[in-house]
Amino acid sequence: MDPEAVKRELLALLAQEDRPAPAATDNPFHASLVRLHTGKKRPFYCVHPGSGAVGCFSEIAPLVDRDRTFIGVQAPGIDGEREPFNDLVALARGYVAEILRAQPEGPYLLGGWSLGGMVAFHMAHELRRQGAEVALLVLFDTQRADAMHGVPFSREVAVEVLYRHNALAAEHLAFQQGVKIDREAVFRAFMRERPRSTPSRLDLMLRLLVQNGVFHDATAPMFRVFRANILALGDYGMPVEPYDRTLTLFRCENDTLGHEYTLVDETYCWSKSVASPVEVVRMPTHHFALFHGDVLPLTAARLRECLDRSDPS
Amino acid sequence: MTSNFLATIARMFGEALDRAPFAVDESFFAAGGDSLTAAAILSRIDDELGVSLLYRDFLEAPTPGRLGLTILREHSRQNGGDLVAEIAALSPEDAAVLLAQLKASRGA
Repeated sequence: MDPEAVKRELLALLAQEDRPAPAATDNPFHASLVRLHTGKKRPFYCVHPGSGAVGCFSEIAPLVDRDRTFIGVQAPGIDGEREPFNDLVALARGYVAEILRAQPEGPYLLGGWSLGGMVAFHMAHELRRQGAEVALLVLFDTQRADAMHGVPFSREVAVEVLYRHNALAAEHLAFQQGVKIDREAVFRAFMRERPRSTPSRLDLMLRLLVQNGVFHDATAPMFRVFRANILALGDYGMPVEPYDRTLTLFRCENDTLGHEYTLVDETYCWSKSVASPVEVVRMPTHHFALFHGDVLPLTAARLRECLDRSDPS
Repeated sequence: MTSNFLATIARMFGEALDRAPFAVDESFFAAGGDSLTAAAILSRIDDELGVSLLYRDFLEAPTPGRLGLTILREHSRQNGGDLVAEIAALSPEDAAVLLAQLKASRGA
């Protein structure tokens, strides 16, 4: 093609996009759907973990299936453009409204990592309540709140396990900001100070992250969203009626806490929320490693199997 | 825009990770980039090409080719909307690559 014809076609295609200017809008969810990979197959929507950010899915998005659109669902407030939400139900409803706008016709393919699994569960419920079809709901290592009830830990061991989890969460937040921190040092600080309440654990985590140069101070948008999400998780009440479609749980096996939970219930108690059996996909990694490094291709392949089965288009 | 527009972006990607320039369709994240290095690239794009982008834009277009398209769109939007002049300033090679990128992202 001659160069001028190329330029004319480029201009014509770009001009017809007519993207609405991302001007001030009253809708806090206007930027929630982040298109991480574009393909011709029905989109998979994957909800952010506690951090509210979706950069953690940028590696897996093109790996799952190059023909599958992968949309990360990110939390309002992550760019510091507004106050974070402190209510998971409000988040779930806002995300559902955006998804219905982007894709008016079901079936819908949903997932979420960690806290995002809880939000995705609520979204799936909401979509079913509105009469929409949900062909896939994948929870990436999300525990139901009661998964820890009945775990045979002594108080001391339970505290230690919790602090190890906090240290991993701090390491993960730092990683999302491109900083490596010493997870063991974070754990030792927790053991020294022994914060008891969720807010005091969040405060200690923030202090250590600021010391490590991960965040400047408490106003850092990602930390504010994280804090709001963690506190909201504590207040969250699940729908009482069971979910009437299939739930798939990617369960991380190399995780002390997770392992102990499974002695109580191998579905992290999700079987109590679903009418049909929970499908468990066992992953040889720990909670925070699911989307990075050696296990990444395996996570991608397992997710692809789920998607192909649910949406054989 | 510079006459070697895509080469400039590909070089910024490479320099952020201390390596050779990226291929136009090579993903920054698959190559080990993270949000902080991405932020460094976005700030260079702001300084050198005069376009301010969000991290979100980068997540949606993590290759030099796709980010090039985003920069074209945003540059004309942020500078009064002269897409015609933008495109006229491109080299024939860059225009051909960008058109192929655009078709690939759509035809998908």
